[in-house]
Amino acid sequence: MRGPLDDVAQLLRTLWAGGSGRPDPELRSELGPVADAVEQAGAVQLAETLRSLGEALAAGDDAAAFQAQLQVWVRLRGLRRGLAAQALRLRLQSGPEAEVVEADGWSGVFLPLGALVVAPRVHVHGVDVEGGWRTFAEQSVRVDGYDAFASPWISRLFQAELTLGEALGRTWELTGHPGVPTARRWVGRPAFGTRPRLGRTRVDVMEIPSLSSSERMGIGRAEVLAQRGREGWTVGSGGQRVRLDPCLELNLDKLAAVEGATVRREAVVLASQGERVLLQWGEPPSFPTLDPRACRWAPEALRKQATGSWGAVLRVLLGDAIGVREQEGLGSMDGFPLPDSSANLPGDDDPEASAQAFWRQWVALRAGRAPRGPAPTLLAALRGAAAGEVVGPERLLQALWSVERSGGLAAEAAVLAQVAAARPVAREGDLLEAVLQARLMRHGGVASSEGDERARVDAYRERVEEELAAMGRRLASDGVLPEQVELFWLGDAVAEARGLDRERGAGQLGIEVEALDRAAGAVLCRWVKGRGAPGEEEVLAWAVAEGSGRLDVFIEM
Amino acid sequence: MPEGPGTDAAQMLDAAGRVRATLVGLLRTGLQRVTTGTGTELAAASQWAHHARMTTVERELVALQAQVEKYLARDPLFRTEIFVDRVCRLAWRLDEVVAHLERGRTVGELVPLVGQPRRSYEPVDAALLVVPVAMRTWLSDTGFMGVTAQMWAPGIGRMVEAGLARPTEYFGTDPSRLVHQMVNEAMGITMQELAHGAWKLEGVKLSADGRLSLPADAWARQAAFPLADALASLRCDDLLQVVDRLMDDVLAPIDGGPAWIYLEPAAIGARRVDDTRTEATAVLLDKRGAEAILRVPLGPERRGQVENLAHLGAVDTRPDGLVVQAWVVGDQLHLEPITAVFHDPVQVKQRRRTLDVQLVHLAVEPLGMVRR
Repeated sequence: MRGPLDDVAQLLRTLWAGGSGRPDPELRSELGPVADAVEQAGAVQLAETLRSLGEALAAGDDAAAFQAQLQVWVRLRGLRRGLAAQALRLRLQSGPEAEVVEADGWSGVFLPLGALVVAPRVHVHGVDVEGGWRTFAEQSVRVDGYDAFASPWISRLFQAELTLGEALGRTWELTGHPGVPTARRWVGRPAFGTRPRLGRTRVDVMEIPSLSSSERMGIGRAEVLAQRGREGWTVGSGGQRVRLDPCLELNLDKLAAVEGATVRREAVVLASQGERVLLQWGEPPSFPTLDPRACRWAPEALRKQATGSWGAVLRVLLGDAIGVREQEGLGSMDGFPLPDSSANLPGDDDPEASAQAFWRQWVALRAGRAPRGPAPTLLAALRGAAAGEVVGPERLLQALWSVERSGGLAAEAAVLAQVAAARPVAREGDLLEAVLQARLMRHGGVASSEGDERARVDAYRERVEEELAAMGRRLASDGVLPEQVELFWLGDAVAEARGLDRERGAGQLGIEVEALDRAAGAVLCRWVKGRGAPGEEEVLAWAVAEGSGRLDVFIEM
Repeated sequence: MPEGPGTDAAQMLDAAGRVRATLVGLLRTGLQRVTTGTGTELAAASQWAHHARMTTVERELVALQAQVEKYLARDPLFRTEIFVDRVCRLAWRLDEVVAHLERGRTVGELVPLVGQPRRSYEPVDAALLVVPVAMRTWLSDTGFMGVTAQMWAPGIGRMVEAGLARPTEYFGTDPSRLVHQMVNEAMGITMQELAHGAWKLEGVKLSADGRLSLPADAWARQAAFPLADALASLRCDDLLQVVDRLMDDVLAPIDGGPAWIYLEPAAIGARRVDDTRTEATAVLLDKRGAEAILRVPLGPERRGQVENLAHLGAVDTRPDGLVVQAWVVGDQLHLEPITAVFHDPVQVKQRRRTLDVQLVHLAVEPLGMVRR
């Protein structure tokens, strides 16, 4: 077949060299024999198109000749390439059949018992149905070293995004998963062609054997004893130290607030490299080294402790979380002086009363009640500051908030301008003063035009973002978290500047939840442990925890 | 005055007829009697194609003009069969355009056939998950060099690509350096980072031919890396399957370009560099023992690929799989190795960094520095 096709190709080249206007004299005489040869070789249609080309050339019809040569080219190209590809196919086909290689990994059901997370490394420990110890280790794409249980875990093992909570709460079904058996356990890593499939919700049908105190390498049940001393927590099991991380520390703090300085638990632990790792305890299992929510306070206990005038504010603030209905909470708060009533008012210089007035308005507004006017004590403080009295930034922020939320900004414009003019230059790190001055700049005075208002909003946003960035830099350099009151007001300003929900401002600060939990935990654990009524500090801590979406770390929900 | 919906089609039909008439005229004249005027005619035809928004046709005509000039200059590299192929392919394309328009297809539907003067990009509403599978470097005749990442987008079931291009006048002719540049300032990731792991891209735009535009407000977030799933759509178990996948393209009058293939070879032979043919080659054996040639053309933009070809068969650095571009030439299967795939992550030392990767992009990363 090659011969006639090569002849056709040569004919095409000759045609294009000489042109159809004055074709090569030998071309027409060659077309017939080549067409016959091609036909004999089985390419009937190509032969027909060659004859059409001959006729078009004889008739001197250039358009027909072009069309005919195009048909010749298409058929020639198809035949040549098809034949060559078929020859290639036959050559490749002649080899032996490929051997089917069976996957030689482990197939079975894995029951996860817990995990050790040292971001980005994750080691999930568990047993198979025969009780054999198996570990899956990976270098995760992303894992939160503190709150791994509920935060997104981008897993190489699962080749998916999930949470450790989801993975530990169910059995894993594996098919041909590659791994390395060692003397004590089998270790699997992320595989290319297979991955675990999450099975049914975990039910502990298997009794995990005890781990003897002499065991230095293994997984099993053992007693864990945690004691709090002056230096912090000391946790041990079977004479060995138990790894203490921030998550476990917070959980122990919360537990200690209720149970006292010694915590004793039957747990599943991992013994490895001279220490033990607490994997899980309790029934259903909780994971105090992975989940900051593993130990929480009962809502009833918190409700009972929320007594006194600040307790009334707290009941409205926490509401459903501690089982207080909104109306019930607001009703109990009504027993205290109303913000817009001059009756029963403590003296203007009573900071406790001013703070309570603010918080009552804050929680009432959050519950959907509109304030009837600025709180008189706060308004008095604002006017006092304009008259030259020394008033702290927190109180003025509260006053400004109260005036603003009750629609009194225009009426107090002159006062605000005076206050703004009287404030000293905020020092580096004086977060409350800086936020106050930004807000006075934004709200002091009435904008003369729309352009003026827009410029003020832009300047406010810029200033607030600058303060946020400065706080981030300080936090990164010294690691000291701002106080709760600073977090609250900076969060409020950031949320306002970004047009977001102001009650959830603390969540907008971009501070790591570990630091937020630790700061709130320090205040709240002390309060729960003291069994006393709350004060402003506790209300602030709960407000920041709620604003940053961390309420479920402390309350059973 | 705004043009009506049918105006473009009418203009395209008119231009197709005129360009075809020029080609008929070319056949009438024949190569032996072409003059510089023929080149002028072809240049005029390319303008008609340009005004009718037939970009591919316009480029083909410019290339044809270059062929005619080569012939007139008695260039020894001129080949009549290539000239004939080019004219006939163009004529076939024009006939297809006319047939489609007469069947009522719109101009927009003909973009794969006639190209587009300027790509239009549509915003992608949801986050687009992309899994990189290859990265190519290129150097154009028009004075640009670039690097392009090929990524599988499971959400839309197709390959997409994103890249960087720079003028050679200012940046030299080594595109491999571009992988260390940021995709864009806002995203804060380099091309090399984009080409490893998986990403969820937000705020991106996509063209009809699968090119991604990453504007300043686009956002990239790391995602889970389902590499095996991404490669499944490209996977061929052996060379026979590769040929079967290419067969439709082999028989089509107009080439579709090389295909992306993922292959797990049984063995790879030693590298050979042929300066006469300006290519480096190595023999690849599939699981059935069938043989194909891995082939990399020599060129400044392919220096890395040529270098890495020597390491593909070495015991220490041999990958588990290869992403290749494949095409059939005559009765030969050509494979150009683009990416080495490792089932278990390996470490690659490059400059002062050590990368933990499953893919080694052969154009820009040193396979010889792989440590298991």
